[in-house]
Amino acid sequence: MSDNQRLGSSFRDPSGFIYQKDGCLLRQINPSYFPTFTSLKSSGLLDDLIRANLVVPFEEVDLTLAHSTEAAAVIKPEKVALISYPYEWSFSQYRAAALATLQIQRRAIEKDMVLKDASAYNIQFHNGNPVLIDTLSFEPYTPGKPWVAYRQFCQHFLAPLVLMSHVDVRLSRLMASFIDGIPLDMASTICKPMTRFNAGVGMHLHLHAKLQAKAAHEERRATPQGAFGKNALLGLVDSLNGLIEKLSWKPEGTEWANYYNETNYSESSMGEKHRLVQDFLDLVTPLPEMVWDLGANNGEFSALASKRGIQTVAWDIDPAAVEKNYLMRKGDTKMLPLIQDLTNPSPAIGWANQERESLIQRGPVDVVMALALIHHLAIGNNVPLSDISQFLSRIGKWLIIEFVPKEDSQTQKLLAAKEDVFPHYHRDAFELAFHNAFEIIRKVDISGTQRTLYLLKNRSH
Amino acid sequence: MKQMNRVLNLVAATACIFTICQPAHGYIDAGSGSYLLQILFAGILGGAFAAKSAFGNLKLMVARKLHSGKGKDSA
Repeated sequence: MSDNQRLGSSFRDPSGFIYQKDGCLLRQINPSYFPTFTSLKSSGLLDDLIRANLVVPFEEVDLTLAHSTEAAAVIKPEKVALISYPYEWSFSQYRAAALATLQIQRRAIEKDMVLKDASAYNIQFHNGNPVLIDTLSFEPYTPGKPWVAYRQFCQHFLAPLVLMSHVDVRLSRLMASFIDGIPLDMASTICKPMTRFNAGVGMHLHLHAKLQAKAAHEERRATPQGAFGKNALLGLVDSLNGLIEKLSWKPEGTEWANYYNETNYSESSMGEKHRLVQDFLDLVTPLPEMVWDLGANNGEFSALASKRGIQTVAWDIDPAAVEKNYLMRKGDTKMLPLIQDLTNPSPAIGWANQERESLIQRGPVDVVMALALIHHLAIGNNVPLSDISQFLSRIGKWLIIEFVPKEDSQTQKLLAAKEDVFPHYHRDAFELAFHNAFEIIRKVDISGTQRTLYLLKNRSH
Repeated sequence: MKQMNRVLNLVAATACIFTICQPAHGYIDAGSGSYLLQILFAGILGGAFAAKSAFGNLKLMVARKLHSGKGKDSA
């Protein structure tokens, strides 16, 4: 991104916007929002929320750093290591983000403010906590006015969570298709048979969808006045909070949930692989700031990086593995588990394809780990080795990669149900395919297995 | 009777929407249906919250009383 450019996702709110300047992300506050921003600070709400790890900390910086002359103030938010999206969150991450939003709204109401929008994209995982990154999401409370962001909250949080909990956890992927949240009529149709007798879902989802459809036929959009008191507003938050707290999902029966129990590694080979990965991480120069572990499963190897203080994103296709990783390592502030299907990575979506970045756009990072992954891409998904090399070279400056040969029992499992059309899948072909983009720094056979672990350095970084 | 009350509430809320209304100014589309739902349930939501808060306060008061009683006993 060029300097002093507004972010592609920051255009809706006239209160201000995010832009990049001198390598820093800054937020400009426009004059129209300045009085509200002043009240936000003087009420103590922002300080309270920052102390409670509910809003990303920020500092006010000099106006000379403003994007344009009309700026009333400029703030510099603490850097979030990686912007993630709701369709990449596991169930518990999604629920934590929803509950954080409601908690922010409750605390805001107590200080005579309200959230004017409740977009799931405004919540990011920062040091392990779901925090609001849009400091300008508040407006003064107007007596009698219903919650302006109620529709958005239901589309962005309630509908996906109800679908994930009651129908199929993979339905969070719908968020990638509907930029402003899952339409309530669609969510209602999908989950009605399972939630018919749930009063909370009945009110906030099914009846809500019906009233939306009814109102859509009317020409005028209107705001009734004097009909919704503060207690009702707090009651609405309380009702949504109770409903979301009760939603649950138990990860079982998915492909990776028990992967490490079914692996062909002996205890000593596994120990050696652990040592090698740590040794390879130590060889990376300069010290890595960010590691992406692709196909991370429950994050066993990702934790080797996060425990070294390296910000680590553990990507995996399986919602159960990501959920387990998140729940097991909640205290690990350097670990961010996320769902990612590498055969169909998160695309760039939204207005002009610029609102939400693709997986590749969020790289390159210092180190990419691809352990026990290549056979799934090359044999499971028929991707040529040279294409895998090209993809990995776009997202990582260093690569720790494990070659799993055809003779390995895990690869044999993949080949059991399909024709072997992979005559070029062998170690020499692998090294040749990766040679153009990467230089081999270390190469070690893992004893007790037929696998080899490589440390590769990207030639273009 | 309950059914009748519900119908009356719905009619009153709908009338409210189309008579004493003004345009929404938020940059977020609140959605008329979403507003209508909140207004329909305003009484229930507000009442439930007030009752919950009152019950919570009562519990707190009783707990404090019991606690201070225990303190006196032990003294």
